Amino acid sequence: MLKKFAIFAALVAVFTMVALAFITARYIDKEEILRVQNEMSALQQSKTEIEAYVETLEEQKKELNKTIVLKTKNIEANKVTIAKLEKERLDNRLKVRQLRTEDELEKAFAKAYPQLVDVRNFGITQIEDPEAKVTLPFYVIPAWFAQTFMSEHNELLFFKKEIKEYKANEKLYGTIFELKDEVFRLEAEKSSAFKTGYDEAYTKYELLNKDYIKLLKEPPVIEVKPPSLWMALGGTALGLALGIGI
Amino acid sequence: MTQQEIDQLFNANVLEIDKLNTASGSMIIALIQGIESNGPAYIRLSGAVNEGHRVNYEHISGDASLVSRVGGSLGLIITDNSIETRHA
Repeated sequence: MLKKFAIFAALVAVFTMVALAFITARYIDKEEILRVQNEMSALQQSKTEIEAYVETLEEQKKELNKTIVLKTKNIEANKVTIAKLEKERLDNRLKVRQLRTEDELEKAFAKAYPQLVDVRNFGITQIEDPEAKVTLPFYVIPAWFAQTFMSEHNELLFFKKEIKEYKANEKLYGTIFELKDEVFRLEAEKSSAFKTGYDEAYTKYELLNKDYIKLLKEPPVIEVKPPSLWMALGGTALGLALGIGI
Repeated sequence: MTQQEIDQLFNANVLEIDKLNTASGSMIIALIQGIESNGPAYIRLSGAVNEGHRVNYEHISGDASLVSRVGGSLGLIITDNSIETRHA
């Protein structure tokens, strides 16, 4: 009987020791560590790819900005040309008004309308007005040539109207460009806000990931200490009292 | 030619003339009006190019010599099948 009790007590002691060894041993979850490390690695890869893509977009943006600068310079050059043409137009109009003699007038007219140069009877002729008793110079041209002046006059009126519309359109384009610039500015601000948020989240996750891996590699130790002497004596006394009672 | 045919021919010619340089077109108009009033004689125009100074023609009816005579009076360069204005 005593022998059986001794064997039983020994077995209980052994199981207790094994259990204690299991509990106090540090458990390291290698699979979880690998998963977390892979997750971090994938995130790093994704970040690198995003940064490369953003860099490509930045390069494209730089090229487009160069084109914008070039085209803006072209527009400015065109404006200078337009101003120069406008001045030439006014100068030419004044030059016509400054013609002083009939000879100068004939030459200038022939230059403007070379189609008339070889027309027989073409030119300035003096016509007397017997009623007023004066003689005035008149131009002799084929009557149907008057269509030229009518057409050119009408075209000029329409050109003026077209130029007015072009100018109105230019103003509208200017307004559209300003609005587009504002949209681009807002888009850039939005992108910047997203970038700040992403960088912050990435940094925090990176730190958290490191801490988690450290925790997995070095889990906290659960210490199981033997009861104090007084507790052991008290428990034994209680056990004996109960055993005797039973 | 009936009046309707004359009008149709005139309208077709105007479409050709309308392609030409404005002043040159006026000179060609002066020609076709001149051969009509002095004849009458009629020509059909073709082959005008935008802002051009030259057009082809084909004699349709009336005194064919009027083309060169009126054309000469107007200072035009007339060949057997083309009319050209001085333009420079």
